[in-house]
Amino acid sequence: MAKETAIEDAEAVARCLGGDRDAFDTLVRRYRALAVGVSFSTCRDRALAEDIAQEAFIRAYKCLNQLTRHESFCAWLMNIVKNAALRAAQNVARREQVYKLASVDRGPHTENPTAAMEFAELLGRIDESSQQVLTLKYLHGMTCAEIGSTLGVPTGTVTSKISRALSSLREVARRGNR
Amino acid sequence: MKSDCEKCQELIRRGAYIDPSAEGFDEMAEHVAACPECAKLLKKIRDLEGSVRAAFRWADPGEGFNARVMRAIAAPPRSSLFWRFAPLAAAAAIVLAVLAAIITGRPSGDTLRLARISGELTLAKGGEVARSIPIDADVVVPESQVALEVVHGVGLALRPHSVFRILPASTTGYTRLDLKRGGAAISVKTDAKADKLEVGLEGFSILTSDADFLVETRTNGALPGLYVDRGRVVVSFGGGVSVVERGEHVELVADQLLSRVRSGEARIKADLAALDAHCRDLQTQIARYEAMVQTYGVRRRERNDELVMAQEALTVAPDQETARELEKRISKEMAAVENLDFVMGEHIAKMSTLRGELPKRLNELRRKRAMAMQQREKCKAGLALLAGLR
Repeated sequence: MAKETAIEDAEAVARCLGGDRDAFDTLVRRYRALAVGVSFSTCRDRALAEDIAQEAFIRAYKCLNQLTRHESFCAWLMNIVKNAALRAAQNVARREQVYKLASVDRGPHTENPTAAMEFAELLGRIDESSQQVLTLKYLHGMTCAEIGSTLGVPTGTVTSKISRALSSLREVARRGNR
Repeated sequence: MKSDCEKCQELIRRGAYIDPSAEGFDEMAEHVAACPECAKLLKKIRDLEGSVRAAFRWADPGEGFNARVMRAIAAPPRSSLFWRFAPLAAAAAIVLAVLAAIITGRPSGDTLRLARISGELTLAKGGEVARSIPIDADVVVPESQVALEVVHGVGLALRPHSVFRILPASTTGYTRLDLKRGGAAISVKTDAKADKLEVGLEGFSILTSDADFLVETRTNGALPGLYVDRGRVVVSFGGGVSVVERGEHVELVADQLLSRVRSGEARIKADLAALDAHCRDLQTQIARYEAMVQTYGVRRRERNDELVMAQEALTVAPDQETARELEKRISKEMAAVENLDFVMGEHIAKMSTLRGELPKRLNELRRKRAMAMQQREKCKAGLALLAGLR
């Protein structure tokens, strides 16, 4: 597996705090797609989602010493992403309102949905722990044993977590289609 | 059969399908091979897994994202003054550019003349002024792009012209002059003072504000060879050192340059080590997938042999009951083979993605190594010349 899988989140955070920037690179590589997905689920703009994710990682790096439970890096980061995305979405909404008042046609600001895009949006609506296991499994192609070693949990727990995460995703999709 | 289905569905619920090493995978696979209803359920889950993979692929911003984040967190701390004025300077630059366009610009072909810059560039070597070159350049913007182009009337430019862009304030909050090509380029003024000149080398960005200038290396691993401070500019590049004179202030800042070179070298070394490790990891992963595909290939052959034997036996089945039994067995073996095909297909797809990535990374590694060597040589030469100039 890739280099990043060899280091647990908590260990990577500890290394970052010790001045090892490469460890943060590992965390960015591990969670960048998830961060963009979560951000996209709020702002519905791929480019903006990427900017928000980038800003969130930078903010996370600067505030890393405030993270008390190092193993919760993913959940903590996703909270930063969500808050930043919410703020950005509010700004966009305000701007749209101004354009509307000024009768300026800005054209469609959301992208045409594709299946992948819709699923990326759904990813933002499930809990952080589910997002994390799905990222490790389906983005990084890690085996359950590798995920277990990364998260510090037994392999059996990982399989159940992934299965539950997929069920949540299916449930969210079903509710969305109603 | 009903209880077998319940057991299989329980295994699926517990995630036995997730990977072949998961507990109950074989048991589940065996049942699914013989039960169309459970196979249908598993197929739905496999489709969902496919969608999740596609969603992640779609959302993944790629390695460039890492580079941007790492560059942002590696940036040297800015003075509060800089941060206070940077957005203002960016806005002012744009306003001035537009004003200049209105005042002086007339469409000419597909470019618009924005302003004119003039000054003198002094080349110095071994402490002696070697050559002094007047610069007389037009600043034009191609109408089709948000880009400013400096066209030299007379100048140092090693190539006919250099193009750079003024990028909008990024998430890091400053305006960047991004040199795009040209061995040495004369950059545009970003304020109204006509005597301001900034010099850039390919691969460097100059951050500007009303207050001061900062130099930032770019991700291509270029090492700094340029230092700009209020009233002072020193540039070093392959063949020598150039000093840009503005007013009467010319000062050498070898210490700062040296420290920048050292930090740049450390960064390049770290980048190379990370890339090297990544390549080795890719090779390990590929080997692991190859081994897994081989194992599954053996299992598939076994199941296929069973299938062929059952099919042959069916042709000579002595009675109806034996034939029915054999048909059941054939259906079970066919499903098992299909299931193994699916798992192998997944592994082969992953393997080919990694195989596709490996040469790219190896090329990148080679390129970066060569670039690092070149940069080291350039910096050595530049530093030696700087030492001579002091």
